[in-house]
Amino acid sequence: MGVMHILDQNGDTAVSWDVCDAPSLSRAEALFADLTSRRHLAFARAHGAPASETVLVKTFDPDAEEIIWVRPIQGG
Amino acid sequence: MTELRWLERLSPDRCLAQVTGGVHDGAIVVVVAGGSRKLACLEALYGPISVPDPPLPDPSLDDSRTRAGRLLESLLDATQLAAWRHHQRFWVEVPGGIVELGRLYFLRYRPRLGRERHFCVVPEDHTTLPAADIWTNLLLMLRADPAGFFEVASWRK
Repeated sequence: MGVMHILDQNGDTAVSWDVCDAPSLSRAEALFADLTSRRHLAFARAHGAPASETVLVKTFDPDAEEIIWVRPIQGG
Repeated sequence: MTELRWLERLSPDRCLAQVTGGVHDGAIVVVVAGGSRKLACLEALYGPISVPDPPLPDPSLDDSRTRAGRLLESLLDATQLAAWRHHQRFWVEVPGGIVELGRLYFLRYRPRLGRERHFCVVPEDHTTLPAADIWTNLLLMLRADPAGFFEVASWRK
């Protein structure tokens, strides 16, 4: 079971998937593609691991435990 | 006449407000809601103030802040976590120095050599995010690509 956290006005929206549940897997893959197309960036980590153990990922890994989506950055 | 425009409830008894009118027009102040001494001080400074009822707390706002805070804290190491809980700021090591996150629009870069510099980086559309989410966003981006992070920064003179 994996979960994506997408940062938003609610803190984050969590979307989970299960490798044994094809519909949830498809939804997660589609969401990954959608967010990537909107230039958001995905960081994978083991559940609860600190930032130093996160990895920037470009493709959806069904075996990922947790993915945190962040937005592109800009100067203020 | 000087008035206050309520902007945000900071805690059950503190509100952020903007002064409208008078010599301090546009100033942002923190007001202790219902605190008569505080209001008396403000009236002494600004003259009679028309104070609307403070907005009621928004439970969903509290939820979003709680969620954002929990996610950020899960990403911090022990030193960062202690600093964050103490004063809502923390340092991140980057090649060549350290960067302090926690003050919106005012990030500090302290190089190992040379003087401290200040800059601003924010996530796109950052005003729609709870504060802790902004730091989660910047923390992960800073760790993954410090050079790219500094490249987009607006540096203060």
